[in-house]
Amino acid sequence: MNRRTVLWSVACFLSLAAGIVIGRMPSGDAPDRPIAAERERKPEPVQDLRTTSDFLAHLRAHREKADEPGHSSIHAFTESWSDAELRAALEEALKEPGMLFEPGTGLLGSIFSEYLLRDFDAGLAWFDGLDMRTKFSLSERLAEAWPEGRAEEGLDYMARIRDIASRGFADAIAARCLTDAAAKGVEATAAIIARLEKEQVLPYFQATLAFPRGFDFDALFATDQLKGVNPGFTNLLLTSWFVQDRAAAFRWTLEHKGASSLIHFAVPRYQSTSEAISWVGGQLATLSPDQRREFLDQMQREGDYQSMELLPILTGATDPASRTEIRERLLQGVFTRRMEEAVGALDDLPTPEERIRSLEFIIPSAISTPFKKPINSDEERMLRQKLITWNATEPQIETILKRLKSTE
Amino acid sequence: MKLPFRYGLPVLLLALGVWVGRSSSGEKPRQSDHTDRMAKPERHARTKGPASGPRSPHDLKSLKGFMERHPDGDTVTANQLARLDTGTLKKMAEELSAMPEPETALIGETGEIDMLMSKIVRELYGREGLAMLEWADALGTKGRAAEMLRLGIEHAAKDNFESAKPWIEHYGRLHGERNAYTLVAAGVSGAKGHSAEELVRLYKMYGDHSAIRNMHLLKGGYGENFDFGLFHLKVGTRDQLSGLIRYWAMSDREGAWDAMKESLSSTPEGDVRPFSSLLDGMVAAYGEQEASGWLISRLQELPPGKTNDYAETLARLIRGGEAVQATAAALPPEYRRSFVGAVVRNHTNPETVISALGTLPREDLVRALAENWNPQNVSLPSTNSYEANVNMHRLKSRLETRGAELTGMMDHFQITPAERARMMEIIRSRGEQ
Repeated sequence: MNRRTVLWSVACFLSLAAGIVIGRMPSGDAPDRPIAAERERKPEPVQDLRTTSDFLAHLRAHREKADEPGHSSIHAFTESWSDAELRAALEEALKEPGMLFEPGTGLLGSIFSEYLLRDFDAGLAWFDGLDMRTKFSLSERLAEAWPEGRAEEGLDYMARIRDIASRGFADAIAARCLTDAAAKGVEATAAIIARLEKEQVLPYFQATLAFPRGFDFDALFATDQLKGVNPGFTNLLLTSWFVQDRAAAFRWTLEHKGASSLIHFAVPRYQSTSEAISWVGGQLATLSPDQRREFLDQMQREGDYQSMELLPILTGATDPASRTEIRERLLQGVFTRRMEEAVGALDDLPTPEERIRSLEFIIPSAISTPFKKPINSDEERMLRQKLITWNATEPQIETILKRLKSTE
Repeated sequence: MKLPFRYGLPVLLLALGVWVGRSSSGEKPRQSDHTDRMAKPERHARTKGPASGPRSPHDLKSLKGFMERHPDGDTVTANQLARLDTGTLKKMAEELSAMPEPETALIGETGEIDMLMSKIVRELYGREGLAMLEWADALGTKGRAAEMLRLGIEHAAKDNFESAKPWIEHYGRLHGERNAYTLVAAGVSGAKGHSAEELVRLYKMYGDHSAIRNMHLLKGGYGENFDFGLFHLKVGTRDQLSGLIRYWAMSDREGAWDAMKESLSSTPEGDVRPFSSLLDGMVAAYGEQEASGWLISRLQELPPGKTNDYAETLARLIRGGEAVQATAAALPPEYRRSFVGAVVRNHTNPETVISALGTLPREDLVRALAENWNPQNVSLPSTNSYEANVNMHRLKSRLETRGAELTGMMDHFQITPAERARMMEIIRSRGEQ
């Protein structure tokens, strides 16, 4: 065999080897192989629930999973369906218009949510093709599924569907925008707030805002964009701040909005808890007498309007002087249909004699007078029982109740 | 010939090598899981997979069946309970009914206890039917024991309210009529799915019950061949019963309209519920444009005063710009102004409002703007609350928006100074009324 032949044979061999190597290299453009095998729902570990405790533990775990974002009650059942199958079910459900009237748009809404979870853009394109009535019904599902990092796109979209974008849609998108921006910092947050105000989203916005721990609320409130923004929205920001640093939020509110606005931290609708309200009560000792009076006046005025619980304010106050002031205000509840709080305040007095004496001599204050009402039969029953417990005499009981029942 | 062979063979061998390499590589798909999808919303195509359960097809019918059996998506509890014998189930139920009431139970625990109770009752009822109610009744009348009985009666009422009636009454005597409310409501829910005759019998029996006065007919669940006409004839569709009309309109709009015409003509002034339900059902089934077009062609069968009321209802309920414009254009002139006025009051999309106004003659257009510039649902804010400034801001915001919208309309239609003066005159005279 001559040299040329040898070289040619080696070249052929190398060509074959090179071909095999090239063939085995991963291709960037190659489409995914069918991934059914990977997507098969992993069979759930076989559960053997036998006792009540077993079942309760399972239900607790199921509930926790159900609270995760994106989870729906049909998720496990449809997890192994292909996209085409899910889309077919969606189209079929659409032909049953009655589903639109079910709470949360029923099964149609759930399948739509599932579809959005898999491929948001395909779901959005499908939504765009719907008639207005159906869009209106499903719009909140769309908003709930709007992806992180694309929230401002949601605002642009909302402008396009103004006729059907419900309050719920607007709130969900706005909340998403705020969360995205807050992760970036104060400047981005102030900018998005300005945009939301311009788009008229903020006047009625109601949602729990999630800010990153350590977010600089002080700096945010100092920005120009926050001046002139709907005060209801700034109240929501204060709530978020209070959750993270109640002392700082309290201080800022006192300085910039006045003592009467501190009542905000005791309003249940802004997620105030009994413990938080108690804390506020404890802070009243740090206010000046004028500030404390301003706060307590507002507390009496707002009690009913904001459906507030006022007793925790008393129980949280450890300073004797402020506790006495709070107690006197809550006692006025005998005139304003807040008997339970008034009785709570009476119980705070050290002796039964002092409690009876308070009721014998109490008169309606200037703040209570506009709200004054005679006690009703339930309140009469409650107070009578308490007076008996405190060993009041029958004449004392009748005198007190007669005065409180008077319409003068 | 030698030359091509000399160079051709290595090339062929190269190609052969590539083919061999690809065939044997077993290229792996991209790894992805649910977490990835949440973080990066890429598309992960799925081809057909195996059925969800052992023999469940991947279609709407099977999904519906699944949701009926497991509304919360939890198959495990139901399947595991089904494995247990009846004695064990009853013992577990007794154990649950003895557990502390919500205020003393561990936080978070209450929900699971009630849920488990509900699932056990469902399983027991499925096995024993009405017979399980005797057992539940013997558990006692307080707290969770009472709830167990109520849940059982609810299943029975849904199944057949006539058989359940003695138990509904028994529960009402023990716990008050108000607490038996949900049982009658369950009966309504069940009867709806069975037949109109059954629902009629229920309404005849419980005509005065508070559950009947609430809008249970607004929710779906009507049986496939439900005879809405029969229900309308025997019981009627006034007031809270009008919710049924939307489903009637979806299945038979001609029949619904013919039957409803008389009552639509005679409903008290301002009560547009039956008409709203009719429109709602038709829009859901046929889309806004077709539904409103169809209704307009029939509105003239009603007295004129009613037609005006209903034209305004159309304006409030139709949302799409195209449908609004088409409806405005299709309405006879004497009703078009009411309709467009309502559009001006209720719609926020300027294009929609402009398209509706554009169907009016000039004088009517000027009048419609003047008569309807006030924003809807504006109330003076309370001044007592610390949130007074919140309400004031909202009011200011709405007035500013409305002012801008009106200015936009006036610019678009090039309102002349004389027309502007005319508008002021109309606004002033309305303010004096």
